[in-house]
Amino acid sequence: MIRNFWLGVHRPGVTRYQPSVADTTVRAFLAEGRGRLWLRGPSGSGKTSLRFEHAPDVRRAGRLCGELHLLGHSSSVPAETRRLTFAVELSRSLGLEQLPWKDLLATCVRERAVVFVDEVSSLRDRHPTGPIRPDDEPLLELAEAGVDLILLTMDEPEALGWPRELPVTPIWKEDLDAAAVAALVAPLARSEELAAEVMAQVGGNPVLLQRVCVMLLKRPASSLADVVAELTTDLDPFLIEIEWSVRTGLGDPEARQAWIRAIGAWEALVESGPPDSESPAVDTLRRLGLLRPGAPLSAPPCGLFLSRFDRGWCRRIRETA
Amino acid sequence: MMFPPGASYHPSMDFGPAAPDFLHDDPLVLWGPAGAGKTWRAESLARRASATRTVWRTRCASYDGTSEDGLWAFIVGDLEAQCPKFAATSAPPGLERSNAALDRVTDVAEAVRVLWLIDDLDRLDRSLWYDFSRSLRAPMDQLASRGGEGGLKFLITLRRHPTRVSLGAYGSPLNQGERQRLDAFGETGLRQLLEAANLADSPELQHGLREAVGNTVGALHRAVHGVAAEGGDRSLLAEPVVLQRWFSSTLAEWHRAFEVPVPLTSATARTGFLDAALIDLGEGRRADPDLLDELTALGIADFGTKGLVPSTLVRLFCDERRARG
Repeated sequence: MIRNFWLGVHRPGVTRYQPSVADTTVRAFLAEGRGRLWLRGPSGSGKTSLRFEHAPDVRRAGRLCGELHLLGHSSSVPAETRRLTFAVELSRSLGLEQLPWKDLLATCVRERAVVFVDEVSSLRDRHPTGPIRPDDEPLLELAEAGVDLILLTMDEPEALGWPRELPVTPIWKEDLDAAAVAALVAPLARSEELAAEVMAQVGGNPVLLQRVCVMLLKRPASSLADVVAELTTDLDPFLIEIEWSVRTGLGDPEARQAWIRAIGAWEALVESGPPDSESPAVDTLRRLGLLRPGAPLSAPPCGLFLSRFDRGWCRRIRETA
Repeated sequence: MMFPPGASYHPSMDFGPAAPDFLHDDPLVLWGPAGAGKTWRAESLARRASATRTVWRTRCASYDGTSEDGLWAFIVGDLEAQCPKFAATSAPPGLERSNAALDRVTDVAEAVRVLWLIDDLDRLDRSLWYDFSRSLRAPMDQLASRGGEGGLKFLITLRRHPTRVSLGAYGSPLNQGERQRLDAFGETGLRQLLEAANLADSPELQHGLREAVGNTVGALHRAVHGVAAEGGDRSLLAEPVVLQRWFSSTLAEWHRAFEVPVPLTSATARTGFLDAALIDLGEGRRADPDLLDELTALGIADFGTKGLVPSTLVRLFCDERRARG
């Protein structure tokens, strides 16, 4: 049975997948591209689901394909242990016998392997002090050797110390339209009207879309307003506040000012609508997922965020600055 | 049959509404304050799951170290003792300890369907929350990427809101799947508790119990047990001295928590000690979010109202803190 909605990661053959613009980019890269594809999206935007959707196709097409999930707690682990761990995981994922590291790299290049790498943001924890180097980070060594990589992450390359410039493809299901949502909530009455209202509330945010629809389908007697009210109180109520607090708590005046500016930009948006121009503050809001990555500035933000992170919330945040 | 307060789970303890159907493939996180019945509910779910899955249990409160390597050694030793199939696996030598352990988890879960109950994850040292919760996502995804329903399901219990625990843990299963908040114990469940203790149910008794000790099943169970042991005299619920006796272990745990500073992430509090938040809330002010979070986890503050739990027991504790200066 294909499940319309699920919470968590999409599973091929179990849950129905909703493609987005990023899927087109991935397909084009797999068909023609060589090098590195850097896919960036906030938590819950569907990065892992995208990997699950495409990696099996690559294998079915007969191409050597690996999937790695970086763990971040390795900064104190010797580089040699890190490389061995990486090599074992990569060999296993590619379905190869364990090879010496140099041979493994050569095989990947020769066979035109493609490797999906999830949780690339872990590089920040693996190398907290600065730019990464190939002799200290096997992922970069893999890249420098010329292996095709699809990198899934929340961050820009430079924020993780990646030493080369790379174009960034944002992940967001901004092209998911109300008709697609209507098909998915079809068991409910007035599904078309409902879908349009749901889209206004979730603004294309995949994780919120899942949460709203799962709640509606589980409790058909509930109205969208009930569901939204419930989600507004349970919508990771501390998420943004904590992120902000942590950064101000670091005692870095520059970071503190950047966050104050970002909150100011959000407050202006809540009061007067979308901003006129791009800025570092707007970029911070995109990184948090408060604004849609890749969407034009004029695109309306998610209604749920506007309700939860309202004027009162902005005021409280500023008071504690 | 009435079990003593703090007793391990027994099927006859399935008070309250039936546990929800949860055996689809996403992680389930149960969260709520101390005494909310998370472990009972988790064990009840695990019992049902055991018909089709091998159940592993990791009791995080049993690990009192602060090293991540030590935590993985503890987990591996524990799983080896519980599961012969896990004990029979091995990982290539020389790997990072977490990867080696997770490789073994994946190996077993691929062969047999596993429910991994991780109880009280946030009773681990705070420095371990982030890395540990993130690590858990890797085997789950690895199995799921191979198609089908996957062989590993997490059931995790927490005292704090999942976002608090997985702060920055972008790969954590805590920000996936279903999150159920357990807090107030319902009227039906309390009636069942009273029946099990051979006490006659009445609105007055239910009200008296909640007014005295709050709404969590742990506190209500302890109070019902106390009333039953004293011959059903509900007037005792209004006696602070009696509550002090019945809840001596709870009060002692609360006092211990107040002796240790809480790491602050914001600049809203001058001190990391919980007394500051108790004073703020007592005087109707907003408390620092980190301190409030700790009070909520202990069951002294209420997640919804962000104020003190309005019970005789909490007032009694506040008086004791004031008396200690």
